[in-house]
Amino acid sequence: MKQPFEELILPYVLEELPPEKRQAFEKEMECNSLLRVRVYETREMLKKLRELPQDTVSRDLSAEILEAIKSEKKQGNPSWLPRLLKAAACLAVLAGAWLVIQSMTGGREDPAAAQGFKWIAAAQETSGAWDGARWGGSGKHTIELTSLALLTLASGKSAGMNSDYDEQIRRAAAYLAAHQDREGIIGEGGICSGYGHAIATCALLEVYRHNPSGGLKRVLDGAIRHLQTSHAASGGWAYQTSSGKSVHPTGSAWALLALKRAAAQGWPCSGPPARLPSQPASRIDLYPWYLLSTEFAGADRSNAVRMLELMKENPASDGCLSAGGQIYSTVLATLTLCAGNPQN
Amino acid sequence: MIRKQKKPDPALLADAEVMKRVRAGHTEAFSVIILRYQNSLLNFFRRLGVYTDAEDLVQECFLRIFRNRMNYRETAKFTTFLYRVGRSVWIDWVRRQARRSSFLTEYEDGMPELNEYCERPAGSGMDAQIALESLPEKLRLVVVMSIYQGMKYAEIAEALDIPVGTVKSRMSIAFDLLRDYMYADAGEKKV
Repeated sequence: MKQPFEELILPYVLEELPPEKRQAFEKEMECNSLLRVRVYETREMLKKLRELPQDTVSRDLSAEILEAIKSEKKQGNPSWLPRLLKAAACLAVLAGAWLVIQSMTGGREDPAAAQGFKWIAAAQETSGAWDGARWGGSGKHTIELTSLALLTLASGKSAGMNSDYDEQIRRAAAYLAAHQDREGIIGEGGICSGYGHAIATCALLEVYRHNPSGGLKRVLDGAIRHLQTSHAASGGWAYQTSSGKSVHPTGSAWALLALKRAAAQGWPCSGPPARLPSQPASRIDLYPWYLLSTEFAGADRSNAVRMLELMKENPASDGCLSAGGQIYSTVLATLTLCAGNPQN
Repeated sequence: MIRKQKKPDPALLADAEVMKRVRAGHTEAFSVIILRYQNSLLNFFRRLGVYTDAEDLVQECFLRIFRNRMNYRETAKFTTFLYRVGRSVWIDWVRRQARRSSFLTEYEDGMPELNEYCERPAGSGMDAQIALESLPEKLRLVVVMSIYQGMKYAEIAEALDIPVGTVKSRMSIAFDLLRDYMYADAGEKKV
């Protein structure tokens, strides 16, 4: 049982007592040695607690935060993604992906791909994510970059090209799983949340191929369900999960790829979601969508090859490509080509 | 002769005045708030047990404050508003960690547990940090706000939207637990 006044010790030490109570407490202390000891102990404890080191931020965060605020103000601007894709991080990570997939199509071991895996693994944060900001890019696309990097490492593993990155794969998968909300959406609700969710689903499906764990299945069940239910009535998927009817070709391409792979891995994904937005392929970044649509209709690989040639011939014809998206698009297209590859 | 009145440097203004400017559309003035509180927010999250992600949470916190700048009332102390948002950011993080942990448990039973979120920097006072992290989240929050952020009970109550009496009782329970933890720890060491 607590002594009288004992409950006032902490408020007294923290100077939370009103003057009259403080006076009464001090008067009691004068004749109560036990109370004096307890006050001393409490002060010592506080002192010990306050000895913890005070950290400082590794860099001034104001510039990054103000930049993020400005970006948010510009939400809805379609030229946003291309600018962000200028990030060196995107290029570096995607370069790795490109190397991996190129080597996968060749069906042989490739030292360049091994370098790609190595770089990607080394660039992973301890959280399991890949942070564009650390590599000269934006820190706002962690989900997308992490998904692409994970897809690369997991695809390499599936193809028997690497076996040393299980830990990186596990941490990246856990990072994405931790960012799934109750509706099954993997992401942080940003402008490209729909796009990021679709890539993340693709990446986790790739992980699931060689690690069909219960936790991963549950994450994928939710992610795939979201893709199926968020399919716009007019065809396609939105770039942003909350943007409703405004479909995005590249985001749709990723969503279709995810559903295609999910169906191949046993998820009930056949049926209506294969409908696509009826937009003309006037931009390079529409080509992956076009590629996938032909693949769904019967896998006309000659179209895919033609798309790659077009990208090589005319890299500056689209914002995504001029921002470094040639690699991005090449990865996307090559993934599509790989989809029918028995090795994959 | 008419003399132009010089605009005061935002860095010299009180928090409420800076926020008034931010609300009026002077986004750049927000950097004053960031510079003023980025370190104390960082330590707020560190004391709550966030290490690797602490700077990310600081950024997230400032972004949320900016998004909710219209909800800030100048009558309230800015730090109350700041840590109210900080608490919300931290709770979201804790939930993410719980999902992550649950996922990892099921992912691969045979693999060693990942510890990156528990990696504490080496240095003095780590016993105190461990003791702090042994507290339940609700108790830890009031202790951190009081001891490390220097907030009065009334401010904590306002930030957490709980009565002052609840803050007082949580602090009391927390200190009993901390005392037990530190005392037991010392006892074990002696043995």
